[in-house]
Amino acid sequence: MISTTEALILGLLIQKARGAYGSELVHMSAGKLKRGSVYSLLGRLEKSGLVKSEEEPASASYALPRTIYRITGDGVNARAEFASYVGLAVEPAGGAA
Amino acid sequence: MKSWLEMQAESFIAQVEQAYSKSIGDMSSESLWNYAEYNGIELSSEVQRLIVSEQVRRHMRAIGLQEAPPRPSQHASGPGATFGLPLATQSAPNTPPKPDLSGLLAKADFLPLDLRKRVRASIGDHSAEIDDLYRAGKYKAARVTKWWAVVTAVYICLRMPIDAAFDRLTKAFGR
Repeated sequence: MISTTEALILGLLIQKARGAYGSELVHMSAGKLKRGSVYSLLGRLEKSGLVKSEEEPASASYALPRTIYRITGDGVNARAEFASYVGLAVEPAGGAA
Repeated sequence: MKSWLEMQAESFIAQVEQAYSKSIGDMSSESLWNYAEYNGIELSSEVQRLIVSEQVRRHMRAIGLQEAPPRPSQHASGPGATFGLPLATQSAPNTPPKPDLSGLLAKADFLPLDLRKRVRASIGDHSAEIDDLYRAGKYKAARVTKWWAVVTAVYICLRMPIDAAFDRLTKAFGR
């Protein structure tokens, strides 16, 4: 079973169908996720196969490569399992993108 | 109070500019010395140095480079003094260098794969934020973000063993 914070991350990634950067998730969580812990949590979720990451090459706008995270099918199932366990709606507030 | 040398240089510059009807900033040093020679004007090396300083300063101003504020020592007369204005070679655009995280990113390559991916993701995001802040002219915030990137990278590294222990416990109790 995933933790509440991991469920929050998965919920946010469901909202962002195109994927999201770590810093983006911190902003979206409105203070619930911290900058220091989000990358560790994403790393753990990736290791469990619930999210996948892709390093985008450096662009004209940004000097260094950024890593974008996307939710996997297993991630969606894990989030749904968590939601049914704690009695929450599967879709996070705002609905899926 | 201007020194005698400064007054000599100023007088020569005014004379040349009147003769050619253009600023000395748009002329070569060669043409200045040719003018002096042709008109029998003798210039000491100190006066020549002051003229060249002023010429460079005007040229820099003409191409839009900012001047550094005058320093007290440059108001003094005697050797090294100009017309109370900074030397052109000391002028520089007032933009601080952009904080760069590529050194930190290179260091991250020595980390184990799991850790490296997390640290690289963090550095990439911080670097993008620095780029945005720098473009918006928020130089101080960009510098602060650089230090946050370092702190976050250290935090991720320190947290790794805790995460590993947590994973082991989760697996042990999950069986």
